[in-house]
Amino acid sequence: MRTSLFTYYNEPSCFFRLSAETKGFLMSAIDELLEKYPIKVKAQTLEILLCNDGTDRFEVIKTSTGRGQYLSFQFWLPYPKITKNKVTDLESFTNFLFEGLILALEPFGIPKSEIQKIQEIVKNELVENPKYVYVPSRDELVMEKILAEMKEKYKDNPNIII
Amino acid sequence: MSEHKNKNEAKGNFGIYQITIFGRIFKFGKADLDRVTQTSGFPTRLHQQLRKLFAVFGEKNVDGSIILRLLGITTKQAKKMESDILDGHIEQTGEIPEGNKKSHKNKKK
Repeated sequence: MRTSLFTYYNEPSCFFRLSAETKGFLMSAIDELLEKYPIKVKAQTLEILLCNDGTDRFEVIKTSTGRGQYLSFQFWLPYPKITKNKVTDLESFTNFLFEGLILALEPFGIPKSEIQKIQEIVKNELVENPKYVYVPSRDELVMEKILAEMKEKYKDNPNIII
Repeated sequence: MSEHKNKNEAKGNFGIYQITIFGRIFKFGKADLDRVTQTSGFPTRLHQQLRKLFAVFGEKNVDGSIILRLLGITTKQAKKMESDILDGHIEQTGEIPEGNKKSHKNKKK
């Protein structure tokens, strides 16, 4: 089984700023865990969707998608606890991600203590390591500018949320 | 399941989304927020599009997000907002996102 960790944000302006290197490292760490403790299901992919609704909501929801090809979970992570001034705090993010992994994977027989061991390894690697710092791309900076202009233009229209 | 909103006058809730690949805008699109996957609660077509892109570019390099939420507006107004975003991007960067090239070409005809 392989891990597919991906992001989808359905609340405007509430994104976790994660570099490709960070996501890649997290996926390989979870892959290692699944190699040591294989989950006995038909699915070949553990799909984890990282999302938030801009609030403190913390919830793990098991979903069924892809006709059994995927073992899918939505991890709703608390945006204000993880993000300060639009910067994603990797330590806090990692803590909530692994709390979610415990909720998702413990019922499949993966011991909590093993998940926590990986959590420590991940934190030691990611936190304050310049290799994993998120740097916005040119396109992202352009979009920030366009959206800021639109926000000003439509500030009196409650039906347009930016 | 809600009705299709193909008609310009149809009212509903929409989201304008962006997909980025390797940090570059790949596509802007309009999603009907009243048509979501029952189990996931996310716009159905967008999730399917993302999965196809993961297979090609890898999950770590692809991001999907709603950048505008439009409540109780017509399809025509939603299309206009989508178009404004796309035009703004083209004006600033001089580039048409890969995933919008076909529709942009048709629009200009």
